[in-house]
Amino acid sequence: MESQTFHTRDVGQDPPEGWSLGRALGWLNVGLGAAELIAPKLVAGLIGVEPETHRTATLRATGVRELASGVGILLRPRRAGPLWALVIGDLIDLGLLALATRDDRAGKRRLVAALVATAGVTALDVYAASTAAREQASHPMLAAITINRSPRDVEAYFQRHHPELGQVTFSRAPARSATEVRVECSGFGKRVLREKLQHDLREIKQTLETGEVLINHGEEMP
Amino acid sequence: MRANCWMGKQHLEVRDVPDPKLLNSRDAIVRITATTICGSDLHLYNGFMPSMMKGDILGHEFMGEVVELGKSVKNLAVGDRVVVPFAIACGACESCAMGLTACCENSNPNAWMPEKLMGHATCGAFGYSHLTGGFAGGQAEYVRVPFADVGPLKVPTHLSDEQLLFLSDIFPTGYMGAEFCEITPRKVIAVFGAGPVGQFAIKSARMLGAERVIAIDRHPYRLRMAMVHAGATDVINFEEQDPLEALRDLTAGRGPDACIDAVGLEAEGNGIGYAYDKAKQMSRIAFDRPTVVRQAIMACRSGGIVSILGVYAGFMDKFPLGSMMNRGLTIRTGQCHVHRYMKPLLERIERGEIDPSFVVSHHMNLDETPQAYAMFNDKQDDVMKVVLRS
Repeated sequence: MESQTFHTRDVGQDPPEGWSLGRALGWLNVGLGAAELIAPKLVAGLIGVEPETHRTATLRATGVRELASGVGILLRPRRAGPLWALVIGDLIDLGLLALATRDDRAGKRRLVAALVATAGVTALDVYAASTAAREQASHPMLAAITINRSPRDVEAYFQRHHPELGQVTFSRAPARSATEVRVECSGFGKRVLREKLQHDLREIKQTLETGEVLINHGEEMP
Repeated sequence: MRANCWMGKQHLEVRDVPDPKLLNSRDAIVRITATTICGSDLHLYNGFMPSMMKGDILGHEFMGEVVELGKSVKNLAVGDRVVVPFAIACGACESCAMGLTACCENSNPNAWMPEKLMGHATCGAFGYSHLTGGFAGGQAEYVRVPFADVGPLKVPTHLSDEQLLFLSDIFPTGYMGAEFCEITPRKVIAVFGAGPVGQFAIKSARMLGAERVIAIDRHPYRLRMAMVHAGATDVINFEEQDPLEALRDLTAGRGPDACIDAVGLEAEGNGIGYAYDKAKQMSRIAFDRPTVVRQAIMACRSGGIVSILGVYAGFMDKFPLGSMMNRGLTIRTGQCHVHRYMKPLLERIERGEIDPSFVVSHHMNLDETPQAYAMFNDKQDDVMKVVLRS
């Protein structure tokens, strides 16, 4: 299992399709949000609702939310979280539009068109969020540590005491006699898993380097 | 046993607590014969260090007698008189192998905390918050010493506690700060802060051959000690003179070859900049009051060295990186790697090159520790170093 190879990941590759869609959705939300914030009466007219005070206030609030969502996506276009937040916003918008159809003064044709358009955008947002989530899950995270023992000793220790850790690689640390240990975490919840693994790796390092795990009545890892 | 416990900001109590026990095979239990308060303990006392918990036992400078040993400790015996370094180090990790024991990778059970705050783990330390492992400190009758086969230094009986106690921290710390300055005979060194660490930095700079050592403080009794006992050649009282101007005058415009910051995150100063730092720290927007480190950088000659011994905890505001970069300064800093200095400095004490007891100003009982902290914090009664015994 000893490896002398170092891998660089995803350097110079084009971003996957989902990311450009994410970016487009981010800009779309920034534009829509700005329009709702600056010209709520105009937007109300476009979607067929009466430009009353409470409606323009609602449109302004929606505008702020969409601006924040858009900026959130543009700042971290590879993350699924902001895209899922967008989907939640879409559902709220659909609910508000459905409520507006009860108003007799509403322009029904325009409202229905707005509902259909929002439903379409919602579908697009769900697609983008789920694509981003899948992409995120497929990128493994590494828990890693350097242990001041030879790769042979470290690997033997892992095989004897931690056979449950499947994806482990061992390599000699550059210009040192120490060993670099990397454990791959992937799938849902890998961030939490990595924290836990990092803690376990620290204890393994202590055991290998000092003979035991140092006990104290200190803080537990959260 | 009796122990000095942190109960909140400026609230200490000497309480009855359970005796320490051996928890690991490389532990020792030490009966403390002398302990003291470090300037950095005041950061805990004043509530500036995160992660303190009610009941934490303070104190990281202490010495005593070994009373119990774990089965893996072969180099000590019950009855040995030892000085214990404040930093806990395993002796086996890569950092320890390089002599960087204050960066030990295995002695902090709460490593995840500094990893989040500072990027990487720091070593464990006695009585210095949960960020450094939450280990019980030595302002007590007994203490558990982890990795006792690596840390404690056996000391001879013909030297007094007062001559040996400061090997646990402030003497090596001051010495390391002077060593950072790459001193050669004609060098001029400025030491900001003439507290106990500053005194040892001054004394060490002189021992290493600096021609001129300038001490900066605002307390006349500290500046007096710097000149009379530590060997400072010049002093600057920053209440009376602007230290930057005074240093420029004393060095004919060059600036000192190296500046040592022996103050840290509770620096005192004057003017609007200081008021700004203080307001930020008091409102908990910032951990640190960086007045001195800024002055040290601005004062240092181009191409010189700034040696930072004072403790800092967080993220610094208005750091003069432009001055540092454009004038080619070197910053050297760190918690002291005490282990590598204890033995050579003990030899200097034995040869009579230095008697560290010159910093001792008061002797008090362990039960009076809260009063000793208040006195030290307020700089009453010309206090320098208080030795505590139970």
